[in-house]
Amino acid sequence: MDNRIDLITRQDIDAFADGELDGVRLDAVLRRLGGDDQLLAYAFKAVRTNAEILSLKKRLYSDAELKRAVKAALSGSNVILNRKVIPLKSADGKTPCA
Amino acid sequence: MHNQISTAALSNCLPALHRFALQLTRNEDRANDLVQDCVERALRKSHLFDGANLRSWLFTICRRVFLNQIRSAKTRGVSVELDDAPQGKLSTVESQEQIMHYNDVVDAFERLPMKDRVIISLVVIEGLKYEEAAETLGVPVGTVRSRLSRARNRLQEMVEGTPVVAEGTQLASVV
Repeated sequence: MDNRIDLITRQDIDAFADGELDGVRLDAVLRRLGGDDQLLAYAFKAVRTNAEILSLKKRLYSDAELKRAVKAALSGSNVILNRKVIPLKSADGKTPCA
Repeated sequence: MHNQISTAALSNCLPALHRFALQLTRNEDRANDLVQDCVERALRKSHLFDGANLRSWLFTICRRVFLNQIRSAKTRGVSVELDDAPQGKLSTVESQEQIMHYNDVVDAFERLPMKDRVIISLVVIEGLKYEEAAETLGVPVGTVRSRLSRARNRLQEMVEGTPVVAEGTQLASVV
């Protein structure tokens, strides 16, 4: 029997919910989730919280202060908002720019 | 190496998978749909299964399918055949309980400190990876992890009114 001991923290479960884990850490978390209903309950709660926040985006971003803060943070980075490629248009608003 | 998923092994996982889906969706019809999508995907992608823990693998698929459904429903809505649609899905009115829960989430979110709201927004809504969020905010990745975990914990505590697992709690597992 493989007596490996995995120390899993709540942050690991949060990272799992955010799709941030890979490699041995992901394996360790999956092993633990596979046999622990209580931890699994915490994991699904984290996933569900993410889903609820995502579905409430419009309401949450109705807070102008938050929207400004997020926009300001993103404008200072190289990350494209929502990773959507928005085609640029010419002045007439019809022709896509090259 | 390709690993075949046996029908028996899959059947054994279905009750737990259904419970997981039900807890995610809070709706029997949607949970059944989610389990079906999840099983279909698992069978289509069975060559990717490493043969170690089918239940864990199915839960991972279920999580992805659920989040994908949320994302795609937001952008294009859900289309169904009228004749096939369960009565519950034809109603555009969400259950009172669901509406109250969403109001609680919004209320709790608005009570979080601004830095917590920003980190959650960057990662959960805008879809930034931890490293990208760290770069954006000019902080180490570890800070993003801990801040995000703490923020999510506060949010859940406020919504549920009960303490969640303490941050940094180590959950030892002997495999």
